[in-house]
Amino acid sequence: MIGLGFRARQAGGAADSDIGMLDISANALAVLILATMLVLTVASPPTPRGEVRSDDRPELFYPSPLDVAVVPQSAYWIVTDAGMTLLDLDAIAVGLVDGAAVAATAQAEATLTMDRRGYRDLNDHRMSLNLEWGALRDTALPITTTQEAIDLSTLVTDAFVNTGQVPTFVVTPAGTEAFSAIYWDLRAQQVPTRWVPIEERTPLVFTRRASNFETRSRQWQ
Amino acid sequence: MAVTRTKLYSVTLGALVLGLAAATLLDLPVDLVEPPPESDELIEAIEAIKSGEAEDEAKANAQEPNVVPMASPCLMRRPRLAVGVDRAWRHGFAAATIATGTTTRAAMLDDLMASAHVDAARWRVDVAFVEMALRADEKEAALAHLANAADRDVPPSCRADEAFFAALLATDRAEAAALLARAVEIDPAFWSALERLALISAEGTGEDAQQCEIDAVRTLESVVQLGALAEKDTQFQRLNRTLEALPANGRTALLRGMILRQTGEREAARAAYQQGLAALGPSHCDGVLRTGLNGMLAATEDEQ
Repeated sequence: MIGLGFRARQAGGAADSDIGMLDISANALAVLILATMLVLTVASPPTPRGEVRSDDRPELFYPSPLDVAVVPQSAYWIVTDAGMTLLDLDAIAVGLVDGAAVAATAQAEATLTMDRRGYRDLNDHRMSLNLEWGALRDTALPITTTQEAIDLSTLVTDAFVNTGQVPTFVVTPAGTEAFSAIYWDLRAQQVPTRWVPIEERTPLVFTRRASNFETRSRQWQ
Repeated sequence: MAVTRTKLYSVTLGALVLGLAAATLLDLPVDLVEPPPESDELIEAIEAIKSGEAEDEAKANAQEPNVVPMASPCLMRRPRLAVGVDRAWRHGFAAATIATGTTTRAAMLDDLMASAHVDAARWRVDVAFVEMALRADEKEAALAHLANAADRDVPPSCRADEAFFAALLATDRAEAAALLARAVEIDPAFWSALERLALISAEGTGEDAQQCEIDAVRTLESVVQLGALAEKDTQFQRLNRTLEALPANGRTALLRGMILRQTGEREAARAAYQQGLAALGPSHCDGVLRTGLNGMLAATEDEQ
């Protein structure tokens, strides 16, 4: 059989030798592909850009100094590219307490919705805030320099240490970078912190209902 | 002369050995002289876990319809406890709890208390005041509001919240544990009370054997109940994290092992019990814990 095959190829002439060359190049290509895959698998993957090196991280405290047996008093900070603004929820509450469904302040227009019958706790509610971004920017405390960031994190830290007030930051995409300086500083100061991202076109919604307790994470960072 | 000297040596050596033996006896801890007392309650609790009776009871408590164990207070935890409260009043109360300034909120709550028509609403305002006082660390004010709350006519499970707040205000750990145990007895689906009871029991409320036994039984029972109430293992995270900060000893090992067992980590649980056993000393309390840890090791032997 081998002899026969050999003779057949000999008889083929130039066309057969072309096919032979093709075989060789195909095999060489396959070997190259295998070698490349092997190198890719074995060689260490490149470090992703933007990764925080372990020695740059501040030491994280543990466990959280916050006792969540009683929900803490929160202060809500809106963080934009202009800096951070404390949301005046007192002014909103004053506008709503006498039964008005909508209350407007310089910072936001609030709509409070109560369930007619399907409630559990007596303060179950949904409050939607349409924030006045221009007014919030105008009154923002800037976070452009390192000193400003330090001053603001000291302000928030003092509120936690003296009155047990914990901060929740509502951060716009443009404010994220400036916020990061404060965030790590607060972590280093052991201040329990929450933060949520927000797009300027969406309202800020506060809810209190049973489902919050089913899904809500009880972790404070 | 030589014989006398040898005799003298022998006598001296004998006296020395006897003296040393006596000294060793004298040095012995008093605890070893008496055997550790029998602990029936703990053995019964372990037997109930072994037979599955404890889990069945815990599941029955957890399967009540529409209970949200992690919610607080009772009105949020259980459905339909305060029906028929005027919507306008609730609107005002929601606005008051949205306010972040303590003065503004207190003034609003005072007005709401005056305009409340039912005891459930008055009780809820009392609780809002208790929470404010607790946050501000004003113990006297918190106790006064708690006393007002106790006078209102509310469903029984709300009494569990009162006991829970009283436990937060208690200065003595044993008193706090007793109040939490009462809260759990009234409302077995009260996550925060169970969690806190498990932790206080693991920290310990006393060193005598009887108190140790009570602590160990409470640790076992509260974790079994938490396990029945939990829907996700991550719900144990907070408990586990707080536990990390406590010293590693027999008591904390029992709690750590129970949490691991409840989250399906049988081998890790057994390792925790073993570590706890290795850390035990000769005291009566440790004798009780030895019974508990050995019991749980035996109970987890055949579990899948």
